[in-house]
This record gives sequence, C-alpha cells and structure tokens, in this order.
Amino acid sequence: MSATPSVASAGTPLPASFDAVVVGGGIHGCAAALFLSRANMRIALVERGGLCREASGTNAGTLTMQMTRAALIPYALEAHRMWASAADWLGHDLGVTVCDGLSLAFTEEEAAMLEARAARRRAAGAPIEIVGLAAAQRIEPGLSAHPILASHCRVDGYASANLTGLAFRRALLEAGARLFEHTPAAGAEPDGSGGYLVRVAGGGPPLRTRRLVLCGGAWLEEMAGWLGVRLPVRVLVNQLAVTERLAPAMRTVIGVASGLLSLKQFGNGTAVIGGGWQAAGDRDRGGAALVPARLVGNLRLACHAIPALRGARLVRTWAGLEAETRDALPAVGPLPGHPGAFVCGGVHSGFTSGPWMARLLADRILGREPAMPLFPPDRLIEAPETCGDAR
Amino acid sequence: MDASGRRDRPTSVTEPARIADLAVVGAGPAGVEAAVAAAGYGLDVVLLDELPSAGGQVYRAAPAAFAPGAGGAEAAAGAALRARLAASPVEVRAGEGVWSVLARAALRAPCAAPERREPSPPPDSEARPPRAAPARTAPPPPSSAAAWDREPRRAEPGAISGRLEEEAGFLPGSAARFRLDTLGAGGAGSVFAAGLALCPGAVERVLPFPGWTLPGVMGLAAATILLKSQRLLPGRRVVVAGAGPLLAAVAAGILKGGGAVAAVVDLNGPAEWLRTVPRLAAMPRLAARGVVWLARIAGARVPILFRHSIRSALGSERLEAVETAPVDRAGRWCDRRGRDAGREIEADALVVGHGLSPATEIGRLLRVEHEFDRDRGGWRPVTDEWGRTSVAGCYAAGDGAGVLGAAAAALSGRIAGVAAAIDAGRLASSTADAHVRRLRRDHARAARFGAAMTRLTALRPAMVEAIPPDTIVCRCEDVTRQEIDAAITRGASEINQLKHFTRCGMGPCQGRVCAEAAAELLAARIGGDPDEGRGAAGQWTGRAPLRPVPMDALAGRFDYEDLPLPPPAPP
Amino acid sequence: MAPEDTGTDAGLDARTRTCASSPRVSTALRIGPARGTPLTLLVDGEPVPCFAGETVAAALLASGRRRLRRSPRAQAPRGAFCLMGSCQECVIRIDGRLEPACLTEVRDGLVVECRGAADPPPVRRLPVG
Ligand SMILES: Cc1cc2nc3c(=O)[nH]c(=O)nc-3n(C[C@H](O)[C@H](O)[C@H](O)COP(=O)(O)OP(=O)(O)OC[C@H]3O[C@@H](n4cnc5c(N)ncnc54)[C@H](O)[C@@H]3O)c2cc1C
Ligand code: FES
Repeated sequence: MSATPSVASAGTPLPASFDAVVVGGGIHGCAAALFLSRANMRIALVERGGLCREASGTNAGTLTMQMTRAALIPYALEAHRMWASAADWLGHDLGVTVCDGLSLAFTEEEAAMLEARAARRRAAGAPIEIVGLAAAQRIEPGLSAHPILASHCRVDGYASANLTGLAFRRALLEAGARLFEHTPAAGAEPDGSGGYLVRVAGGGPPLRTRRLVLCGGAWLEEMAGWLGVRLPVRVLVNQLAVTERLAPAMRTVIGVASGLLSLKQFGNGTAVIGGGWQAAGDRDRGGAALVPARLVGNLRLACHAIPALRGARLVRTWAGLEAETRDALPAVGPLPGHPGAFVCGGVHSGFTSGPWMARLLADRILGREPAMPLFPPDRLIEAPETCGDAR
Repeated sequence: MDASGRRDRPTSVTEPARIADLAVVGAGPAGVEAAVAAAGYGLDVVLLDELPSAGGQVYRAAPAAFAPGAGGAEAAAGAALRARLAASPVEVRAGEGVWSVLARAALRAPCAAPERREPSPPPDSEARPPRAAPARTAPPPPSSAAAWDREPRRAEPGAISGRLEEEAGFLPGSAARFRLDTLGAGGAGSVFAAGLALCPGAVERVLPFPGWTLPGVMGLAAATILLKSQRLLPGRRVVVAGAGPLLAAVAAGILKGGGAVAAVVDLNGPAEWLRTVPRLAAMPRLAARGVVWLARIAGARVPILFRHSIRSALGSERLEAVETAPVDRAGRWCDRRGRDAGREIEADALVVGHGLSPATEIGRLLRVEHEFDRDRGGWRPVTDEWGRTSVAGCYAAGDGAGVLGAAAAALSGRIAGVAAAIDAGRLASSTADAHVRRLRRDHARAARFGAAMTRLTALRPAMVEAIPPDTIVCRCEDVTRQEIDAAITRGASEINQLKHFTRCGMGPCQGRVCAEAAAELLAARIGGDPDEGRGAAGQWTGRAPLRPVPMDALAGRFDYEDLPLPPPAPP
Repeated sequence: MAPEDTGTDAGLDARTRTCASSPRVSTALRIGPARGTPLTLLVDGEPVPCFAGETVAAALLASGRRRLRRSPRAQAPRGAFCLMGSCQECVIRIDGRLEPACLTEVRDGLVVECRGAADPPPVRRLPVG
C-alpha cells in the first residue's frame, strides 16, 4: 500500500484554457474525463461533492442485462466486458464479480411478462434463456420453491459501487486530469470565441474551456438550463437496503420479471436488496426518507426469492437519485445549437452501461467514429415556451 | 421476551397504530421528565425505550426478577423516577426498540433541506472552498431546478406526495408529524405523534488502542450496567481506566461488590480534578458521593495511576494483562524512563471509557441541524432554550442534546416537555416562562457541574494521533488506522466518503463505536484547528434502521398476492 | 447463594492456561444473593446455570465465556463490549435468531449459539492503498 498520491497536479498553474471541462463526477463524468485525459486532452472535472457520491456510488452495483432496457443491451454487453476487465483499463479494483443472473416469475401473469421481456432482450443480443424451477434451483441453490419460471443470463454480476469514486479518482489523477471536488459549478456560458466559461462556486476565476461535457445525472436538466436548453429529466428516488454479513445464502444475481427486485450477496457476506422501489426525495434533498411499507414490501420480495435472508439482520437503508428522460432512453451526444457542448446521462441501469456510454461520447469528442450510435438529446429538447405548463 | 410468540405476529404494516400528541424516545431522566411534564399539561404521551424498564443507563433498574437487594443513592433516585412515571398518565412502552423514525414533512416536496457542508478538498484536488466557519450542518438554499420530476412516475401511485403520506399512514387532516416504528417482545408496532422528544442519551466513547477488541475489554459504562443492573463483576481482577467520574464510581462499585481492582488508570492528574472543585460546590450531593467512592478506593489501597493511559491490552483469546504508561495533559505518551515508565498489570477485565458522546442517530435521520461542541461530547443537535431543534415539532433533551449528566438531563427534559405543551397550544408561553424560570436556574447550576465533568473527558486529539497503524479502529469491519490513513491520502475528505472508501462505519454498529476516532483521524488530516476539522469531517448520514433488525421480524408472514408491488419498470 | 463460578471457558487456549497458574482472586462474578430463580441455558449444547432476570450476555460472562464470536476479517475473538445494545459485539444466535445478548433476557432452556454474527465467509478485501 503506497501512501503517496499518484499525480498531485494541484498547485501547478491552471492552463489558460482546458480542452474540456466535465461537470458532474458520477460514472459518466468520471469515465468521460478519464478517456479524454488519456487521449492527452487537458481536462478539468468539476464535482459538487466527492466523486461518485450520488447515483454512481450509492447504487446497487448490479451489472446486469436483465434489468437493462432492451434497446441498451448491445451497449450494456460492451460495458459488461469493460467492467469484467476493469483492472486492465481502469487499473483499480471495484470488486467486480461476474456470475449468473436469474429473473423470476411467481405468477402466471409474471411468467408471461418474463417470457416477453426475455425474448426482447435475447433479440437484442443478451444470452438469456427461459428455465423451469428445477433448473433455476440448480443455478441458484439458495432459491425458494416459489418461482414458477425463471430467465437465466450468463452475463451478469456486480461491483462494489461504494468504491467507484476511489477507483476513478486514482485513475483520473494518474491520467493527469485536474479535479475540482467539493466545487459546485454555478453556471456556464459561451466565452465569445467558440469556447465556454464555467463558473464555480466559492469565488475563483471561471474555468475557460474549448468543450463542455455536462454529466449531471439527476441534475442534468439544471446544467442544460445554463445554456438556455430545456432538457427535462425526471428523478427516480430508488430505495436500497443492505443486510449484515451472513453465511453464503446465494451465488447469483436475482431479479424479478417486473424489475422490482435486484438482489445479490457480496463476497463479504452482505446482501444488497433493491429493485427501484421509490422513496421520498428530490433534487434539492436527495433521498429524503423511506416509506416503511415499501421497505417491508421490498424485503418480503427478497425473502420470497431467497428464504435464507430471513436469518439476516437489516443494517442500513438509503435512497439515491436516478435520472430518467422523457422516453427513458439516454441523452448522450452533442447539445444542438451549442458547438463544443455535450451531455451524457439519463442512462437506465447507468452503472452497468456508464463506462461504455462515456467511451462512445469520448470517441465522438476526439473526432473518432463511435463504435455504436450515440443517443443525441435533440429528441428530448423542449422549446422554452413549453416550460411553464410542464409543471 | 417471547421470541416464539413474536415470530407468529404479523408485521408493522398490519399492526394497529397508536396516535399520540407526543412521542418521547428514551426513558432516562430526560425522557421520563419530558413525558411526565407534557402529560401534566394534558398531552397524550407515549414513552418508548428498548430497555425493559424506565430509568435509562444511569438509573438502570435491576431486573424485576431479581429479589430486591441493597441499592445506593442512584437506585433510590431511579425508583423515585419510575414511581413518578407510574403515577402519571404517560403510556410507557418499555422493551420496544424504535428502529425507524419518519418525518411527514420528508414525504412532502420540498422541505427541510439536506445536510450539505463544504468539506475541505483533499490535497490533490484543486478546489479551495471557503471553510464553513462554525462547525454546523446548515441547510442550503433550495435549487431553482424545474419540478418536472414531481409528476407521478409511470403512474406510480405513491409518487404524489399526498399519496405518499397516506401510504405511510399519515391520515389527511391529522396533526401527526412523525411516525415511529418499533420492534419489541410483543412484535412490531407504530406510533404517530405530532411532537417528538429525542432523549436517547449518550454513547460511550472508547478510543482505540492495541488489543481493545479482546474479550474482557469493556466500556466503563458497560461496567456500570453490569454492577448496577446485573449485579455482576466485570472480572475477578479488573483494571479501571479512562477519564471522568465514572472511573471512581466503577472502581468503588467493584470493590463494594467484593471484586479486586488491580489499578485505576486515570488520564487526568490531580491538577485537572482540582480544577473541577469550584464546580463541584454547585452540586454538593453529587460531590459527596464522589468522596465516598474515593474513600473506598483509598481504603482498598488500589493503586491510582494519574496521568496514565492504556498502551495495550494483552492476550490472545481473551484479556490477560494491561500495559499502562504515563501521558501528559494532552494525552500524549511521555517516554519517561525509569520507575514511572510503562508497566504491565495482570487482569482478566479492563473497563475503559474516554467520555460520552450524544446519541444522534435519530436527529441525523431527521436531518436535524447539528453542531460540533467538544465540551458537550461532540456533535449535538442545535436547540433553542426550550430544547426545540431545527425540525418543527422535534425536541432534544438530556445527554442526547449535549452531555451534561443526569441532573441536568432531568431538568432539560422537563423544559422540553413544557415546550411541547406550549407548541400543542396547552399553555401560553407567557405562563410557561414563569413555570420554567426556576427549572432554568436549576438547570444552569447542574449544567455547570456536568460541563466540568464532561470537560474532564473531552476527546484529546493526541490520543487519536497515537493510535498505532495496525490497530483496529472500526471493530465491525476490522478496519485499521493505516487503512483509514490510506483512504484519506487517496482523497477521502469527509466522513461518509471515508466510509465509502474503507467500510469503516458500515457494519452492524452503524458507526456508533468508531465515529469519534475515525472523524478525529480525518479532522487531523484535513487541516484547520481540531474543532474546525471535525466540522469539516462531518457526521455519518443518518440511516434507518436505527439498530440492526432481524429481517424475519420485518418481513413477517405474508401472501405474495398481498405485496404492494408497484407497477413494473419499463421493458 | 450464587453457585460457584464454573470457570469454564470455551475460548481458553494454551496461552491463557499458562496464565492460569499465576495468582488470581477466586471469587464468583455474581454479587450477592438477591437474584431471580435459577434457570438453565443451553450454550453450544452445554447447560449453563443462570438466574431469571439476567441477560444472556451477563449469564455467559458469569459462566466464564467471554468470547462470543469472531470478527469477520481477522477472525479475532470478540466479546461483549458496551452492554447497552450499541456495539453489536455480543450478537449471537439466540433461539435461532441473531440478537444482542446484552439486551436479551434469559429464559429456561433457551438455546444459544456463540458462533458469531453469522459465520460469514472470510472477507475478500479490496485494497485501499
Ligand atoms: C439507488 C440506485 C440503485 C441503482 N442500481 C443500479 C444497478 O444496480 N445497476 C445499474 O446499472 N444502475 C443502477 N442505478 C443507476 C445508476 O446508478 C445511474 O444510472 C448512474 O450511476 C448515473 O450516473 P451519472 O454519472 O449519470 O449520475 P451521478 O452519478 O448522479 O452523477 C452526477 C454528478 O453530478 C454532480 N453535480 C450535480 N450538480 C452539479 C453542479 N452544479 N456542479 C458540479 N457537480 C454537480 C453530482 O454531485 C453527481 O456526482 C441505480 C441508481 C440508484 C439511484
Ligand atoms: S455488548 Fe454491545 S451490543 Fe451487546
């Protein structure tokens, strides 16, 4: 364990202009900043808090195809490959574990939904097959006898999301990016010569940059608003729960057809239970409070699937903010009418797909042809007049 | 407790709820007095505590099953407190642990803003935000972001705040502001109340040293519980170590119980104790009790090592010996050679405590504004002179609002009870002023005494600095000091980020045991003076459950068809 | 009168035994006769005498059992520490459920397993430094 920081760029003078300023240090902002830095761009990453302390550090860490929207499967598959080899390109361990995944149906209605959803995802390239209870129990010996059908995906897994910030921080410093943490960006505007000025809170001169990459997650709408662009983003307040360590109770990632359960046991014995049940909260307050009945409902669903969880104790619950666009598909690409400005966010199961989305956008910014199509935000942008009645 | 009976019970969702004017959490002197005072003005009060009977840690009752035995002054005071409570109309729910507290306002958009502070950035970060001058967690102004997200999500019924409130059991038009969920011998339950008094007392601070995780090493407060309530000696040959009045109380209690005290190891020297004398005069009865303790210790010829601390606890599977060494006033090791240097004392128990810190779990969960006050034990909720916190309807009293001891706790509890009555419209505040004038004066006197005692035990940063690299700081997750240091070097600049990086504070104790040492290690590295550093290091974010709860008890028995499944996620 | 302390300790190892030869004050840990009715716990299959009103943690301590579990990562011995339900060091399996022994009252025939919070697998540690 080395006690010396990698590349401590702090203290060296700021460049007169950055090649890109990335605002928002979640998975999208961190990964975009990393790939751009490694391409020898002078990069500043401006983050209001610590890196990956919002959605990207508080999420469930599932790297799954079965929760990913069908349209994003090809992206998620690439991203899964990236996560599995994180040690190579990121250089730091996030405890990525690749394992089998099962999505369960407990009723006839759910079984129909399961089959339909599995078929769509299979068509999009995910290696998913439908199995009966006996086969599912062979794949997951911890499974209860309640499911009537399951879909099995070999490409699944999880990472310790709480380590995302630590890993990216080290990689970014090693790549020479300049980190502005605990520094809320207060706004951005054109600098009059084709670039942008990013104003930061706490006084200080604005950062001048040729390109601006907005990666604000749930706060993306506010950031686009700096440039007068109305890009509506709604906020999901996802509830999560974690147990105390318990003896090995399961070895796969477990979900349900409706997407309302995500469950796995980490190597240290703790089990994380989620599935997008909604808590109270908003952009101003973050995840503010859990509704007891919803917590109990989520826990019951988990125990229904893996009975051994009944013997565990619940240690902590929390809620994080996830961004969702009007059509629940990503906003990744250039901001129309603002040359040099880009957005990257609104990605469903964005922890899974984030690194690949950021790589595609970085390629676009670097003038390379992205390996897959981006998700230009044009379709999501509303005319300013309609702002009022959206409320 | 009847665990088998518990297992057959349905869970909180179906349990009938109790609706009250005031819920008081914690039945120590502060909570009992708050409850009795408020009930005296006609409020319908529910008092909750996880312990089987009221009294809190200081007046902890001997188990009801024990034959009545000899009790000292504290036993008498505890019995008197319980008698007053029994004579009051307060509903006492003893043996019921509160695992969740929900503020109705949190279900509405937007309300009390989140705790956001501006921690100082790590050294390899560029930002230089202005340091928040007072160590306070202050709500930021709400952002001007559009509120498109307040629309219901995909026909998700509860996303409309009104529906959320109803779903959480808050009836339209009811005055309830808080919902408390409990688990106890009788199963799960919930209480809805307009007012909430937080009287959770304190947690003991034990600063890490090598070997402090060995069986046989216990807190000083733990020893008082064994002696007072369980009538049990912590060991056959006990070293009593740390700081403050508990040292003498515990050593005397062990001797009185027929045990042997191998040594009393006191961080303070006679000079520090002498400095408290003027304050002791404020509370002659308490001071007299101290004299009795000291006489007993002197009579037994127990060696008292002033200005000494525990260098390490030795043993492999359990404590076998304790190594002590002299320290200076700041708690730094002085490496004097010769007779006064370290010594090894054989013992089968070491009881050690370095003071108390307010128990802030519920306040943090409710996002009550807190401030760091080293002389009151650390982070405490900010209160007005009535005990009102920054969250409407929420009061804090007793050691949980700043450690000042039992006498002050009872008085602050009573004042908070009066405040709850005023706020409920049962009492004009002009009348109340007269009622509490005397309480305030008595409280000020008790607080002077309590503050002197708390100051004797105030955390000494040098003791945290002296923790060796391979010593465990977070007991639950076995996180060592050197791992914490490495995480700080890697950029952790705030305590929740430190938790993310190391798992320190993520285990079943939920950060109660390691918070003080971890925050102090961080504070020392992020600069400024120690108090500023602690302010910038911050507090763990409050999370439910307040204590780990068995999943089995929460999940109960259910039919799959009855699960309140929200609509499915998009395909 | 309290029965003689059995002095047994599931956790005694070679090192402790060598220590046992040195002088010790031999008194039982229970103070005074004012206790509840005698009961028996089953601790890891062995009967352990105790008294109504005691907590499981106190009964175990009085029986000489100080080690209640092992820590998850270092597998180091741990025992009751705070005795007020805060530290969770005393969480063991009581009547099949994980409970803090210091907050749980004894009952006759109660089955207690001192094996640890959950016998978790050795932790896979992620490097911090
Ligand atoms: C509870 C939860 C569980 C989830 N579980 C999973 C899962 O298991 N698997 C999966 O694939 N996905 C999961 N997701 C989704 C996934 O976490 C997100 O899609 C992804 O992390 C989004 O990354 P991001 O970078 O876009 O946003 P974020 O990580 O939220 O990053 C946005 C950043 O912008 C910063 N910011 C905002 N305003 C400013 C400003 N003015 N100045 C500077 N900085 C600013 C914020 O502080 C934040 O750090 C989950 C989400 C949540 C909330
Ligand atoms: S000894 Fe700390 S919780 Fe029981």
